[in-house]
Amino acid sequence: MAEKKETVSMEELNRELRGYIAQIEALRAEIAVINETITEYRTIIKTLNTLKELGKGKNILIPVGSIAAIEAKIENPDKVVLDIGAGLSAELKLEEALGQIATQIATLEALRRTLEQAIVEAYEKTEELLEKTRALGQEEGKKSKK
Amino acid sequence: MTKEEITQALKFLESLPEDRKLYYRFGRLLVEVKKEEAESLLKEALSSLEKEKNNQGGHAE
Repeated sequence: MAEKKETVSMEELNRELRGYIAQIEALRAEIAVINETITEYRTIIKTLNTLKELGKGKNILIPVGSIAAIEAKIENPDKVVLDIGAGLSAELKLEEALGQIATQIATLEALRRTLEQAIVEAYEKTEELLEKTRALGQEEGKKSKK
Repeated sequence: MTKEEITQALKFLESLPEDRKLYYRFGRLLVEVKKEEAESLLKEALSSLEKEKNNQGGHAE
């Protein structure tokens, strides 16, 4: 009877362990998406600043699909149309747009820190469960020798 | 689109000066809209989201 209880415990431990491992993988995937977004937003900031430095009247190429582009001129690098969410985009002054993007980066960084902390906690739980699994395994080994 | 996203967009819209151009996305197109039109479109989106949520709640029961 007692043996059956231990087997169930081991199964439970393994199930819990698999749960935490899946959680860590999901958190890592989410962090990867956040990292990509932060990189993209930093590139946008760099591009907007470069366009501002190049100034009005500079020729640029606008991509039309993946293999074609048409020539255009920068009319006003001080105006930026920014996606503000929910399908709405608004014309902003360059400084306002840069500020908005920086705020979004800061929000994403805060979210990343929360997720990283969650990973640390899940790792700790995993270690705990591994230790319990090892201890239970040793106990079972001793009993089977007797 | 989430309720929070729409609420934030509405809040941002309110803080914008009147002279700013606004565009609303319809499929792949960005269409220039007036501030009142943008507000009305966002409120409409919010209301259909709430209706959808209520319908789902009704089915769950």
